Amino acid sequence: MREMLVDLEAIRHNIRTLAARVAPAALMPVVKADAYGHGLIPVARAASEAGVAGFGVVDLDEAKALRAAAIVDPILAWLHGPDADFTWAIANHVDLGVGSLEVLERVGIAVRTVNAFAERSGAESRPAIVHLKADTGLGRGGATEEEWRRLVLRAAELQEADEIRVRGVWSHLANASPEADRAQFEAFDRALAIARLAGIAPEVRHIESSASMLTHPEQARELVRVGIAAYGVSPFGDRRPAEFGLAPAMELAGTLVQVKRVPAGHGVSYGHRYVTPSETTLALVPLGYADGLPRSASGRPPVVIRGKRYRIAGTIAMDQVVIDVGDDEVRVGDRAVFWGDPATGAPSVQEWADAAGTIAYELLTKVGPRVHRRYVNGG
Amino acid sequence: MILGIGADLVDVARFERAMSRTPRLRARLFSEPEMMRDGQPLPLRSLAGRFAAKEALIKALGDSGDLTWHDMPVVSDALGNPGFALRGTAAAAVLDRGIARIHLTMSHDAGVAIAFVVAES
Repeated sequence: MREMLVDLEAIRHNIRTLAARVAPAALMPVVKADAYGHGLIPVARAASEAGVAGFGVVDLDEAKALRAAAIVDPILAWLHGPDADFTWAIANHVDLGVGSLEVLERVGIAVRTVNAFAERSGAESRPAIVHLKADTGLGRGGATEEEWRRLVLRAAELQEADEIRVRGVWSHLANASPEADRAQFEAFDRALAIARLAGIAPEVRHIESSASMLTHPEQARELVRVGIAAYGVSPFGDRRPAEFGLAPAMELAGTLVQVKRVPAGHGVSYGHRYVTPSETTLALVPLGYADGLPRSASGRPPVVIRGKRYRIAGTIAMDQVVIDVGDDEVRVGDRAVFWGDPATGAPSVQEWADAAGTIAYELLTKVGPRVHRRYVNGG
Repeated sequence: MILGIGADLVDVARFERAMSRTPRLRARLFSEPEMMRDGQPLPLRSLAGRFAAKEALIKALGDSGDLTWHDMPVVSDALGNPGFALRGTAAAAVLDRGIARIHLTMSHDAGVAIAFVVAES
C-alpha cells in the first residue's frame, strides 16, 4: 500500500545521457545515501550496465555493500571516521579520498600492514589508491592551501615508496554564485600546480558535479562526479530535468485505503488546518511523515489520482494523509502518486520540495523504511 | 606575485669537457629519465641547458640549502615545453616558500645554453 517505484531504465538512460554530455571526460555516478534513496545495489547494477568509470560513495560501509553485492567497478570513498578500516579498502580495490595529513598517515599505516602480510604469504604488495582532496572554498572536507602543500609533499614521498598511488586530485563546489564557482576553479588549478611541483601527476582531476557540469561544462576534466542528475532530478530548483534530457527514476505512491463523503465545514487531520469548503469526498492514503512526506509541507503539495491532480488536505500525519477529491469518483485501491516523472503526469519531487521549503535531495533520501521498494526494467 | 627569478648561462664546450673528464658527473647531475628523450640519449648541448635550468632554479629559490640535483629533474610536457618535476628536498623547498608555479625557458646558440626561471606565488 506504500510504494517507491524505481525505473532502472531511467537510471540507465540518465547515465548514458550524462556520459555523452561529459565525454571525453569519464562519468562517476555518486551512489551515496542508498543511491540518493533509490536503493544502492539495484541502482549501481543498472548504472554499471549503462557504463560508468566507477562509483562515488561517502564511506567504506557503502563501499562494502557494493563489493558484497559483487559490484567490481572502481569505487571512491571519501569520508572516513576514526575507525575506518583502510586495510579493507586497499585489499578490495576501493580508492580513498584523502583531504588531510592525518588521514594520509593512517592510509600509509594501513598499506604497510597489508603489505607486511602480503610479504609473509609471498603475495604481491600493492599501493593504496588515493584521490587527494583540496578545499577550494566549500569549507568542508579537503586541505586548505597551507595543509595542501604539506599533503602533496607527503603524498609524493609515499608514492615514491610505492605505498600509495595518487590517482586523482579533486574538489567540490559550494554553488554559491558564478563568481564563487570561478574562484574555486582557479583555486583548483592552483592546487593542481602545487601538486605538480611536488611531483604529483594525477590520472584524473575532478571538481564537477551535477550542478556545475551543467553550468560550467568547460570545467570538466578527466572525471565528472554526478549525483542528483543520475536519478533524473534537476540540481536546480527552477529548471526541469527534461531540459537536460533526464528522466526522474523514483515514483512515490500509496493506495487509497478509505474513501468517504463528508459535509461542508468538516475539519480534516490534526489541528483542523483544513476545513471542507463544501460537501466533498475525502480519500485517505497511508503515507505520512514516517514514510518521508515532509510534515512541514505547508503549501498543500500535489497528489495525482487517476491522472488528476489534487492537493493534500490538512496536516501530514505520521502514517497518513487526506486528499479532498471534491465530487470526483475515486475508489479504495486507487493509486495516489506523490512524486514521480512529470512526463507521466506525476507531480515532481521539486514541487514537494518547494512546498516543504527544502530541496529535492532531502526528500529523495528520506523515504522511510516502511515503503515497499519495487524495481522495474531491471537488466 | 613573483617570488624569485634566476638565470644561468653554460658554456657548452666547457660543459662537454667537464663531462668527458669526469664521466660520473652525468649521473650525479641528472636522473635517468631526464637524460633521455623519446628513448634516445639527449645531446650534450641539451643537457647543458638542463644544467643551466637547475642552476637558475637554485638562484630563483635564493639558496641551494640541501637541494640535490636529482630532486629537480627537468622534463618536457606533452607540448615539448620544459618544466621541473620536483621531488624530495627540492619540492619541499619550493612549497615552503609559498611558490605555486615555476616557469622555465631555455635556449642555446653561439656555444652557450641559457635558462631562465620565474617562481610565482
